[in-house]
Amino acid sequence: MNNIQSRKQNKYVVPLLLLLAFWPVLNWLFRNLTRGGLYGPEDVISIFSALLILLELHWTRQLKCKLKLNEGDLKSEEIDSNKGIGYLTCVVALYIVLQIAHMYFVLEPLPMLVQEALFIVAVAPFLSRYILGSNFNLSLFAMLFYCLPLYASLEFFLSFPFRLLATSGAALLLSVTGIPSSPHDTSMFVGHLAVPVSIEPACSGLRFFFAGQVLACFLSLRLRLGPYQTIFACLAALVLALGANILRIASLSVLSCSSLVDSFSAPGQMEMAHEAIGISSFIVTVVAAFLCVKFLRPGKFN
Amino acid sequence: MRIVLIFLCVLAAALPFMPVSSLSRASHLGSFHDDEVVFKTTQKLLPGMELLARNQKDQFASSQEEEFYKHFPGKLYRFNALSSEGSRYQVLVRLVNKPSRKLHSLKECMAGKFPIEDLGVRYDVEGTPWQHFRAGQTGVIYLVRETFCDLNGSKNNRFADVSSWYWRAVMGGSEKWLSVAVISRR
Repeated sequence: MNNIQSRKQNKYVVPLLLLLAFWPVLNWLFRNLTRGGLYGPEDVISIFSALLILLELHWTRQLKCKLKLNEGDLKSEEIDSNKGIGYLTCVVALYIVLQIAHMYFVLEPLPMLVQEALFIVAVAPFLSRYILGSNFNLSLFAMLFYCLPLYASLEFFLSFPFRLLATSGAALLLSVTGIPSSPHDTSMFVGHLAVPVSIEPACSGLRFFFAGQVLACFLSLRLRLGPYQTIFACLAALVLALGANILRIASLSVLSCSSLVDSFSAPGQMEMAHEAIGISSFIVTVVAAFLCVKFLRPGKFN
Repeated sequence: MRIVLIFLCVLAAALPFMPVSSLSRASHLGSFHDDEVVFKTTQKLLPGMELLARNQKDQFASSQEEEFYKHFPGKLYRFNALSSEGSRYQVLVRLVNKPSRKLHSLKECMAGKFPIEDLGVRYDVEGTPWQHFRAGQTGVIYLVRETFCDLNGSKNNRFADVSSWYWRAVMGGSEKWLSVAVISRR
């Protein structure tokens, strides 16, 4: 009886304590979400996907519980309330230590993204228990992580390395297919062109990568994949995104050095061709990532 | 255990009120004596434009901006500029002494207030790559171009995008870096 009372209390106390400890993070996230800020369209799509899948999973679980209750077969999913409280204590303690250390050594608060990640670490197991009935679910954790305003930071840190990789990959692909090309930083000389084709930040392939990751997490959650399968799905989505971007850049480079360019007379035709190649590559990536994750079945690698 | 957790949560909630901002601001800004070099480099990057005196009054456009620059590892300059055709521009220059996520593209800052249209990378007569974008759709529209370079504006250290700048700064090449943004209003 005491355990049940304690669990009921924890149900309300834990979210309140989470709100209290992480109020600056929540305040910052809310401000960014309502006034724009760091949340770009990519982040909003990932939040929408997460909400959709979490609601769907919650309703499915409720329905199953009701059915089991009717059959008199409900096994209570015991939650060790002390374990949960202990876990939360550790995360909040870690948050305090990191925050104070950062303020002392770097003379500024911990970067907001790190604070947000710690908040996700704190909240994920409780959400997982409430929605999925399991203590930890990697795909739920990853999905929540992609709900943070992450895209701008990914662009900052990864755009250049992705462009370097895409340029080298596309140059290699073109050379293999018989078109002489050589990469130089984030541009490459292709065929007879005297001016190098420059790979702009918009062609880094980060959108492919982000969409692939969100899709992989979404499907992993939907199919209730295990941790190894989730990691495999995310890695497969990464490889597919990189491959598709290399293919896109190679196609665009061929287009820009072929005689086709001269046949584009109306203004905007070149841009349309550019967009069409981009969209086709994106669709191919998404479909391939979907099939790849669908192919995985629960328990295949676990 | 529950009492420990409550105590820690209260402590965590009080952390943002720790008086650290004044300390960090003084330590970062005190190390810069580069105002003249910044002015010269900015002028060099803007051929066909006359850079007017530094706008001291309007250093921070809003309290939010001032709050952000409290933890900025460098210094902010605002200049007015006049083109040869007589058009007026505002030039925003940020000087940093280390590669930092805090020096992000102006596009990222303005995205919170305006819809952004990316206009791509263009090279000027000097060969400097500029990232162009438009902020706003109706009412006030800002046309912005932005570039990143080292303090002396060396030709091989000029970048249109912040990620290229960041990785070059991480690899070395210069101790101090500039972000120069030219803003015109329509």
